[in-house]
Amino acid sequence: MAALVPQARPEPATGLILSGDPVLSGTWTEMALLANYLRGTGASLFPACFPEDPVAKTTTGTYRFRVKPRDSAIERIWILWISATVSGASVIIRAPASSGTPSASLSVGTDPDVPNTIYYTETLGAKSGTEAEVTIDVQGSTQDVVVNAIECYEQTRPILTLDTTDYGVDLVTLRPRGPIYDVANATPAGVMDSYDNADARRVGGLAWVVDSATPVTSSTSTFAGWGSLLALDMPVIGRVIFQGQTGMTWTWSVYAKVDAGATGEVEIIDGNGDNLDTITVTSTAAFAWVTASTFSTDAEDLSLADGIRGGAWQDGTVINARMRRATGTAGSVHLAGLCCWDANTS
Amino acid sequence: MAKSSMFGGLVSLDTALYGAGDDPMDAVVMRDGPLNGLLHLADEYAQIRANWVGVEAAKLTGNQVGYRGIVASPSADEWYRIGEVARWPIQVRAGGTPYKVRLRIGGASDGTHTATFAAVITPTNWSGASWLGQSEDNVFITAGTASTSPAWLTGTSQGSAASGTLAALSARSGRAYQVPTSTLDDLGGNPAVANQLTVLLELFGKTSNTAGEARLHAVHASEYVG
Repeated sequence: MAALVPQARPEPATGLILSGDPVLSGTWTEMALLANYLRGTGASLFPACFPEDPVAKTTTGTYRFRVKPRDSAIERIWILWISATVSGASVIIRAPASSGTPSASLSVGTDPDVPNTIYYTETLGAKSGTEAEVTIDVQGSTQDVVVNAIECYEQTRPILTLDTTDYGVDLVTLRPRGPIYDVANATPAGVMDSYDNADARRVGGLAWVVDSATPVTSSTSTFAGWGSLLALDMPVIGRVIFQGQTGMTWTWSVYAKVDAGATGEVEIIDGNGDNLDTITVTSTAAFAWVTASTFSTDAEDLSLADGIRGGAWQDGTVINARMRRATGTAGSVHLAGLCCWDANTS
Repeated sequence: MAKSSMFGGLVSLDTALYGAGDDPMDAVVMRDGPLNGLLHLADEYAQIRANWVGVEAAKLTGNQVGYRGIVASPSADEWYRIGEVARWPIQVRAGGTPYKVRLRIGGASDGTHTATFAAVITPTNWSGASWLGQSEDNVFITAGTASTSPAWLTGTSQGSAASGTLAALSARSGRAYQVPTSTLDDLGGNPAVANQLTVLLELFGKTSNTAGEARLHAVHASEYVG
């Protein structure tokens, strides 16, 4: 009784299926392995990002990301690149922020061009596929450090549970000449259940995050007067879900606040500088995630060698952001995080 | 070798083709629906692994510079390590070939000399530097820039594919360098091991003069079934 997850993704041969003939046990087994692979192989919660964020000595930097995880994950792998400007620095890592198990004190070197690579495994208390904030703390020691980069992905599962969360398919039940039962997690019905509940998302699209003590700020009332958030427009190409689809919807949110008496707006823009979507920031008390919204980019073109629709990086395949004070005559809007993710079903 | 699915997308089938629950379904409907669908989902289960970029120059504060780089390299036109940008367990196809990696590198120089960048995708039990100079497609080298303004740079993989957008590890690497990773078999469960091909994206820079500076501003890396 085991729903093993293969190391490499299987590719069941479509040519072995002929009209009117039964589907071979071997084909069902390959399909079950592929279904287990999709449920068990970890996704990227967000791609590596570049906060370049200082954490002053004896203080703690907290990095907050918005994601929609996959409900089969049981661990998250965090990788951070941290450097120091003087010798003797160390950090303690903790995820989730404040409540996670603190790491040992980890020494940080002084070469800013070669930051230390730090791994941290966050063991989850429950499986969840609900959109949520995921957080990590970097607690500095007696010297200042700089958080150069952060990425996070779900740990791959070598084996799935036979239940209606993991939808593992028990491979033994697909042996030749075995009976076909309509029971969960077994026989062809288990494969169909897993397919029906597949969650093979390209989870994280883009993240830009800093500690809320060092936000990016805009006090201008026009987008044009502020420019763009990121130094370059970043590629965010969606996946094709249904046949013939040429675009994909991304969900996004910002971790932001605005000074009293004003409201703020953050726009996602394409490579032309055209607005794709706008989020309004109203929280004046503290930084908060704004209710998520959506925008679309090009989806891959699987007929092309590199999948870039149109044959080259173009306006529809890249995004940037900009912000402004939307109402009020004074005050600023403050941004400490912007994340976009794939929340599509199938 | 590109997509493995038949239709390059999930196919919506007419319910008349498979009838009510427990009715028999023709094998070809099963092929075009669930099998094509599983293959397609796996093709597109390619993850974006790095969207590494600093803020625009006007938004930099404190000691931020918005890039990482090499300054005053000891020798001109010699590669120096800028650093790691991402590490991840790359997806591997049935024959052992890892998914390709769509790459884009944004850089600049100090404006006085030409800066060039190299990206290497390597199994984590190898050093990226050991690949530099090899005619392999996991090594991607950009054109030079003498501008101080960050810009996306054209580049080419150094193997036979000579791709301007993709880097790729060989099937040999996919098979040979899988490493065991400790995990659990379920929430609060027993110790288990996941074997994965974990790769490292490492960046290097060089300048045409020892006083020059190569400034890495942005890196995009995303898996592609290609």
